[in-house]
Amino acid sequence: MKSRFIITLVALSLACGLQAMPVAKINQRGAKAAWDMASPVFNPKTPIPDSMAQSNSAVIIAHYNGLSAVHEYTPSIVKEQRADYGSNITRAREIERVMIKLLDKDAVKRHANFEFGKKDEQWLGNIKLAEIEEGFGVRVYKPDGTMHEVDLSQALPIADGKKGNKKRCNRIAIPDLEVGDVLDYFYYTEEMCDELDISVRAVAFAARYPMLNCIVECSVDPTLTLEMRANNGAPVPVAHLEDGQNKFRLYTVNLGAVPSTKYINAARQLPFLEMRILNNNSQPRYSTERANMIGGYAISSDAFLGRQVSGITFKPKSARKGGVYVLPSQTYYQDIAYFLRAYNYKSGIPGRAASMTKAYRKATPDAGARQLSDYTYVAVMYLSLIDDERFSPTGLSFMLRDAADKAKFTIPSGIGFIKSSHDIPLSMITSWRSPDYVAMIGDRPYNPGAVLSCAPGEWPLSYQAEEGGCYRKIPEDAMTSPEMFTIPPTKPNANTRIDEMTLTLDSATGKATLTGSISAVGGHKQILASRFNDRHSWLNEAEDYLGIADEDRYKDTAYDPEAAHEELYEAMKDELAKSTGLTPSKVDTVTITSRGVMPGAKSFACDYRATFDDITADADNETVVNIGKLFADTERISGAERNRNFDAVASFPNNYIRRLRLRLPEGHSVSQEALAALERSVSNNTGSFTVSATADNDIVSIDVSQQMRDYIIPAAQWQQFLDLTDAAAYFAGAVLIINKEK
Amino acid sequence: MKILSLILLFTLAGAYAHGATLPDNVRVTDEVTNYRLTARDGKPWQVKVEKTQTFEALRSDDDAIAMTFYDDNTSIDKASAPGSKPIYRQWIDDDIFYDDQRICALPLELKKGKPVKAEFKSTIKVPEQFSKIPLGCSEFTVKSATNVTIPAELAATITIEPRNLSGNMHFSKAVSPKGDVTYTVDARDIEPLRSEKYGTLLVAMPCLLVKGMFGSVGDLYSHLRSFLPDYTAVSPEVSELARKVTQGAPDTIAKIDSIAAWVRRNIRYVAIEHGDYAFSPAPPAQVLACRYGDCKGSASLIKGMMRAVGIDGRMVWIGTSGHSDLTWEEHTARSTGNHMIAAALVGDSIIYVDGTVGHVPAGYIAAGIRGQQALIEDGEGYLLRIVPTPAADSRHSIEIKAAFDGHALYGKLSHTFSGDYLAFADNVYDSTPLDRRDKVLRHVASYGRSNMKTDKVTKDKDVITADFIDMSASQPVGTSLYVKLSPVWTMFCEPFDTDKRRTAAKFGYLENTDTDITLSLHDGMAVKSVPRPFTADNEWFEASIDYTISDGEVKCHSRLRMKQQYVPVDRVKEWNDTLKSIIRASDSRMVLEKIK
Repeated sequence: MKSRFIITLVALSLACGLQAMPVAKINQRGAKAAWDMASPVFNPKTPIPDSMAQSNSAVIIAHYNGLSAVHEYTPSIVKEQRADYGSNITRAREIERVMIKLLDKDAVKRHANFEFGKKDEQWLGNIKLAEIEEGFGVRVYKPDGTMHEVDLSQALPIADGKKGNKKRCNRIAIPDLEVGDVLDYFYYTEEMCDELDISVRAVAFAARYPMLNCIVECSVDPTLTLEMRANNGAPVPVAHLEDGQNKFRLYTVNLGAVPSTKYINAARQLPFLEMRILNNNSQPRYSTERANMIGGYAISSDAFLGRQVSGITFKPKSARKGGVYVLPSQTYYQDIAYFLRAYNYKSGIPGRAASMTKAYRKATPDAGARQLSDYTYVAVMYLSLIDDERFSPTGLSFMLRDAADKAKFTIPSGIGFIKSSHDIPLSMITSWRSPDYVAMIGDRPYNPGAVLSCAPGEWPLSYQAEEGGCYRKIPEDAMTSPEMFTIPPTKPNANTRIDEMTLTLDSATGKATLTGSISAVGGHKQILASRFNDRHSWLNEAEDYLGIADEDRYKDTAYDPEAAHEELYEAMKDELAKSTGLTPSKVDTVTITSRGVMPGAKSFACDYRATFDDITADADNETVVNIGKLFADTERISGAERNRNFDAVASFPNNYIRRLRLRLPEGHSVSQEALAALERSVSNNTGSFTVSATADNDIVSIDVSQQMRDYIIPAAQWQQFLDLTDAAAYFAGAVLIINKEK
Repeated sequence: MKILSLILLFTLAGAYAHGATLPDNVRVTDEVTNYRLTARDGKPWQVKVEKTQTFEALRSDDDAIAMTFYDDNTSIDKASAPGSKPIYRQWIDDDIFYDDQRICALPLELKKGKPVKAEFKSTIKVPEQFSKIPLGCSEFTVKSATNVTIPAELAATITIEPRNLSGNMHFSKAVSPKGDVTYTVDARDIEPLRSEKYGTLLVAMPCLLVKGMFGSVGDLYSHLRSFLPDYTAVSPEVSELARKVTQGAPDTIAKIDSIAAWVRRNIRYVAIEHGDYAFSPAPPAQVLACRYGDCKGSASLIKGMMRAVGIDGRMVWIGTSGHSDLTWEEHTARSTGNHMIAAALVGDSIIYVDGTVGHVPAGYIAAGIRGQQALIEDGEGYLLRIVPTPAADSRHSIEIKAAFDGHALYGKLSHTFSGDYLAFADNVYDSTPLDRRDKVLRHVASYGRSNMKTDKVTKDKDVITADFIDMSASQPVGTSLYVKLSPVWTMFCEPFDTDKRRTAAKFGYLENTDTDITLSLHDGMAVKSVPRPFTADNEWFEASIDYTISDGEVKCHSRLRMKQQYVPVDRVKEWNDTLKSIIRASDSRMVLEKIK
């Protein structure tokens, strides 16, 4: 019920704050910039090599991305009344032009319709903070060389409002577009930000289709600051001063298409250039507002503007003045130090949590620092979850650090910063905004963002093997370096899941009852915990842990125990479908015995009973038990994806152990040969897949063990990984032959 | 073509509802909807709609959204609820490029046990749009009353007829002293609408039919015909194209097929539905120039091209089987149709041509219009005809020549498609990006066999051939080898969850599959047993699986034929169990033995 509401409300909220405005002029300005571009690479007659034309849906003949930004100080009576100074504006213009040859119907379909004409403004009271407007244009080149420009007056407005007069954007269907045509289109954006920074740009050097020519140009006012980073082999720009502007141009040719395959980590493997244009001309602010917990004004941005304006008004004291910079990560660590020093909030939670910790310490004099810090974390999280306010993970990290300080711990607390392994590494950041912030007490992390999946002090697996930094004491000057640390890579044993299952057959109907238990630690635990835990279950456990008396417990009026019970059964049905590859026809019971998120709870554990259909089949006078169907969670990698020349990125090193006990139906037996037929053993540098089968009277034991040794599979070991996944996938067809005793 | 807005969007809203045995926490305890038709000059003028809903949260605080829909022809006059501000937003449908449907929503914060009342008032300004009143709901509704008042001066011609009412709905009629007639449906304990696999939501939904808005089918036809463009002079571009496309076609049927194929391949489906555009086909020249159109547009171009080469092309209004099971005579209203196609009158025959079905065989009639009543343009008059259902021309034949190499089953397989199967295969192939076609072909060739590896997959017209190796089809146990040939292949139906099923099932296509497998045995291997012959023959399926043993070979033949598209809700489990038994028989193993 609630999710439906949220989805609908989110969809509805996108409409807010939009103005109906004419878009023709910006289209004209964009057209002038795009079509007057003196670039020979935008040639619709560019020959496409046969090898490329025959194997691709489309080919990008040329891709241009141009960004220019200027800085303006302008008088503003309105602003000066409130801020003592006038407008401090960045004006940016960006044009993205794509010329693409469409080689099949799918490519035509994907390029047949466009949305354009978004326009938005953001105000703080009567001060316009930001404005963005989008222009568009498109031309179609036919194979005979003729060209027609699409008439945008034929576009249809997507409009909200009671009378349908609040335009959101326009939609146009491209007329006369066929396979073999060349489409040439641009998006042109004009953006204004007062005090704020324009949003970060990431220019990719790889796309869904191969690219023959790729040009990136940038022109920035010398009073603005351009900070850049080339990632994963992207070309490195070299800027120069020309016509009073800092400029650079990159031109690359013959870029391959992004392979359509799994096990890619785009942020770590695909080339892209990150660019931040910063307006560091404003007066630095050393304090931040509580409203959004990382500083700045309380901006209620709508999705469009929110995406465009990622900037907020806080500037670290170390912010660079105008110029072009490719800086070492240590520079950003200094910015982080300033950010941490400037950060403040208004909440009584740390004080109340510290009081609870002190009381706990008094009642538990033997409690060590680790127990105390765990207790403080649970207390802070508990108080925040029952508070009417909602807090960001960053804000909560600060509260926890402060609670620890107020409780007068004997070990130093601090704020850590780190990046997820799904994103760029910390060493490649280009802003203090980029990392995730966590509280550090001693050497243990306390991550409010992972409250439902991790125990206190546990690193989420998304940070596996990542480098992080920590400021114990926020330095007075920026020259103090943070403590750097690297999270040790986990071993498979640290991420182990064990499923104990007992299967009871009804050979007449083919149905089977599976009674089982799941026990998981590490990454497996975090996955299961995030699926099965919710706010209410966490609060329950926290109240038990914190020793809160029954009468003082939080009354959650939004909690629907019956609906939660039903959701738990649905979650188990989904889990069994994932872990076995076979959806149970029914889940009869579920009990969570350990949620794995309170101090000392290393594992997630649960018990269940479920019914599966179609587990058995017939063969002569014997019964075929489709055992493999209960282990069919591995998909075979097929076709072109079997060929790979770059590293694969999987989930995490882990063990997955499944022990199945099958009670033979009365009057049935199993031969040693039938058991031997189930056995598998593949082991190599990437991991192992083994199956053993034994029988003891009427109990057949089948143990299936899978191990992944690392989460990165070097390209050279890809075949070994295929051997493993093939063996696991093929085991889905494994059967146990049961003889009916005569 | 535009479907009655209320129905479509009510359905979409209802599709979010998740059905369960547990009573929903949020329910509507009382709902009253009043429709009052007004008249001007003795004719229907507008419809005033007032809806009040009282929401309540049963077990815990919760959120809800009260909503109603409007469009260019429907205004929202009032939307209110305590503590809520209405949100007005255009509805975006992924399948429709542009639609004027808008949603007016009132987000409600519900405190357990405290009712909140939401109220909407709206005006339907085009009375023709008032033709079908859905009685489904998006929340469980304890009590509802739907009142439709027809003024005395229209009461003799406009009537209301209930359809698909469930046992807990009661229909009544009352006449006021002034002669106004009020039709009422009182209902209790109405389950929310739910989208189900193979479901029949739109067709089976309880509703009230507004009858008499058009005096006759002829009146409705005249109304719909007024939206058609002028076809008397076909543009030179359309004529030239028609001549070019039909050049060399030996007869009229071949010409029709050529025109249909060209339009299907070259006119992109782009649905634009707002105001009169929902009923006005674009002129042929415009569709040709744009190279896109919706069903009306492609039908319009087909008609224009046919007329350009001397074929008597007509426009056809029709409701698809998933939309309505009513004929134009049963419900003479715009909402009976949701689709347009073209037709050609050739001698005594009518050839139906749907321009929106993609890459399909010549003469193909899409499943959605088979058996539906078509309203065919005929000058000042009109024709009503039932679209024929082709006699069993959809067939999927699989031929497999296999051998066993000691570890796996391998060999060659071929799929031969016709009818719906060919339409499916061709459309999948045609719409797949060039760089992914090989993958998709492999997928089709080994459909439903996750461990079957295919290689050298080729498609030649109606045949897909491949080499294959299936690592999981056989299992050695001692000197025995258990081999699963799985001769039954299904593409259009599969067992589904029948637990908590609320609606009947309707299948778009009927499975009609034959499989012939020849397994060559190598020396040193003998057949110990093959599965017993299997047959199933009931109201839903005819199926058989037979194994025969001959010199060094095992032959297996299977046949599966689905007999009916429609399965009533109380028979769904039986249908499902039958299909499961067929699949179970198909999974039975043959046993081979090594000869010493």
